[in-house]
Amino acid sequence: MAATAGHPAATTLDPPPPYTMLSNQLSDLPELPLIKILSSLPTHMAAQTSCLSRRFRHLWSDLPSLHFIHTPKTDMTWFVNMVDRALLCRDTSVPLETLHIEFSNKCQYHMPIDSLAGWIRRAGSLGVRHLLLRLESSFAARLRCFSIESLESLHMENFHYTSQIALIPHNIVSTRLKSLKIWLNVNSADLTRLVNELPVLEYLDLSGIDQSTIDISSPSIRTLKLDSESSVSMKLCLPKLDILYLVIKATKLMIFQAEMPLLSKVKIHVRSHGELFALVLRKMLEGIANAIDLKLSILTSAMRTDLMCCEKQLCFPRLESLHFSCSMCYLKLFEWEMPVLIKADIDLSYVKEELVPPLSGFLERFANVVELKFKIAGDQAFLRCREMQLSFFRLEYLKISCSMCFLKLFQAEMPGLKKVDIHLSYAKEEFVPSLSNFMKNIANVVDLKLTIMDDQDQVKPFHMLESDKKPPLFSRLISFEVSACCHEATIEDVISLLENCPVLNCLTICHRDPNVHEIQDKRKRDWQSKLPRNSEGNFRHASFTDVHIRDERSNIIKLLSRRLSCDKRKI
Amino acid sequence: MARSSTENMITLMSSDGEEFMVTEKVARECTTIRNMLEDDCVITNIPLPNVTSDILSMVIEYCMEHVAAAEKAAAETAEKGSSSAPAAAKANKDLEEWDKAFMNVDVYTLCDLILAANYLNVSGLLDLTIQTAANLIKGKSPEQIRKTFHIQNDLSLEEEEKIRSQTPWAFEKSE
Repeated sequence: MAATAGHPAATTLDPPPPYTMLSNQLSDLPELPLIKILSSLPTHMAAQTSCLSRRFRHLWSDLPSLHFIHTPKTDMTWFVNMVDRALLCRDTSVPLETLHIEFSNKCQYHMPIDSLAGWIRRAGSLGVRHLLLRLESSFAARLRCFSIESLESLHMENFHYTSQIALIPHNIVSTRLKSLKIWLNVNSADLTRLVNELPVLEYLDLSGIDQSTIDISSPSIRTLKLDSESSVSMKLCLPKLDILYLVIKATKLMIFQAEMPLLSKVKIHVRSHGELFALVLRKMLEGIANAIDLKLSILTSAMRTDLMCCEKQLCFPRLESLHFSCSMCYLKLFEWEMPVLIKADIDLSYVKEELVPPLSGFLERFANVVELKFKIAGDQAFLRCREMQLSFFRLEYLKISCSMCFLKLFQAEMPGLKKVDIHLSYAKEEFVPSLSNFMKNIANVVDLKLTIMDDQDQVKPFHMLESDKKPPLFSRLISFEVSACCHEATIEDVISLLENCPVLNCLTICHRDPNVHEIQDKRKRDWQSKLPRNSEGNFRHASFTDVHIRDERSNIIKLLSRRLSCDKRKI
Repeated sequence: MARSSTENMITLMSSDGEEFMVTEKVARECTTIRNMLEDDCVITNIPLPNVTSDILSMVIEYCMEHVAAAEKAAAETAEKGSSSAPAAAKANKDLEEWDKAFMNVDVYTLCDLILAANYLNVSGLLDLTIQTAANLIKGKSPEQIRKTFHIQNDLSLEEEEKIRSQTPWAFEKSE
């Protein structure tokens, strides 16, 4: 570009040089974009460009970001040689932004501990701002990082966990540190002190802390990720906290105290099977009641019964999105008030019959949502309770994954529904009326996806539509996707549905192999796909567009029924 | 794109004298132009002596697509009160697909685009082109890189040998 400015005006009668870009070659690009290109490559690949041409010879050595990634095949002396060269020969006037050193956990060589300490020291003198290390635990080298004044982010990972306690040095000078991610076991007092000594820390990600007490208080932290399985007591005083991710172990935690008034996004995962102290859970929920977006998963099947402490209903005044996965025995704890909830994603496991009445009450809490995803595990064939009468007046998107018989219980009014995704398992002929009923409830839908997995005890293929009743009219349906075993009855059902979908544009049919076990050979034929051969030459899927055009529809019906009639003729 | 007449239009002139009328919003995607507009808000005609018409039209195409995507997302958020995550994810994916298709160009055009994005300071386009160029380098031997980007090797055999011996790790595959 500099050359353009200084280009002499045409003084002869020669036509002026065409105004083209002066460069259209990689080597002619200005240094800044070239350096950006090389910076986004692992440094050993960037270094390779040094032999391309003179232009590239020294470019790589001034890169602002250096990424040294050791693979199991890399010769360690070569690796050390390159890092040495890049760091030690580097011109001190060229600032180093990022240093990223990563070893593979399959590394056959010994870690070059001494070199490592030297590299970190050198990076410090080059004013490094971001340091990423993935190494085998070598505390001395790591902890030296805290004495780099220029550091803004420090991420350290190990590949093997060790519960050995790493002592955090006193007099930390990294006062610019904004982001810290460590996987180390640090003792409680040291952790509290470390956080106190970092005045501008915004992001803190801690795992591997094997301490019974965790006490973190910081005026600046906005994001906290904490994976601590052995904590008995947790105290968090974080006035600016926005995002919280927490992994805890059910059986251990006894005390939870939190002050996080600005919290918006929360993800809590309660790990391991065991009994959860409901009182602690309640304390925890009270502590996060300001959340806007909450993901909660409790993977444990049992609960202590000391806990039905529902003297006061919990309220989440700002909660807009809830993702909730737990065993059904916890439902009683979740009788919350959620006045502004829009999205709910519920995943229930360990379903027991006596718990169905609370389920109905639980689902009523979601009456105002616009988007509902609901998954209930297992075969609920044993559920003999009364039907749930629910209404979701604002619901636009429903995704439901359940056993086919569960549809019998799920009676809901959903007038505004636009999109439905149904995933049915344990499909049996006896539940067909429930499905028909459900289809009637969702007949207003625009986009419908239906997946059916047959029960393994189902011997004979069956129709999903009741033969004696007319299927409902899907007057607004534009897109329809079916994924099921495409035996003869399924294809016939799809054909009769087509007659009732006047504006349908896209139709997709996928064949799923039946889940039916030990089909006898002569039965196997009944479960084969009867879809027409597609462009890939198989019978596994078919898709059509413009189904609403009359001629097109009759062609599609003809095509779909081709293999049916042919088979019938054979018989 | 249909625009209301009240919106400010800016004329961008390429090095070969072609004029492109764009809305101020699209022009503002280029930080260089945005700075000019902020310094002198009555400016309506901007000559860009470093960008040819074919490259400038591509840059404008990129800016228009990204402005339209951002407007659509904003409209959806305003309509529903909050954006629905699946819709936003799909819109993002669509835009990524568009970017990917947009990057289906020869290396000369790619280098011109890098230069133009760098000069006009279109950060999204600069990141996209730079990533595309980096991906073209990744996993290739020096010989293959030279061939891909038509780079003339002006190093003597001895010099090249010396460079290779200095950092053997960089050349481990080719040895």
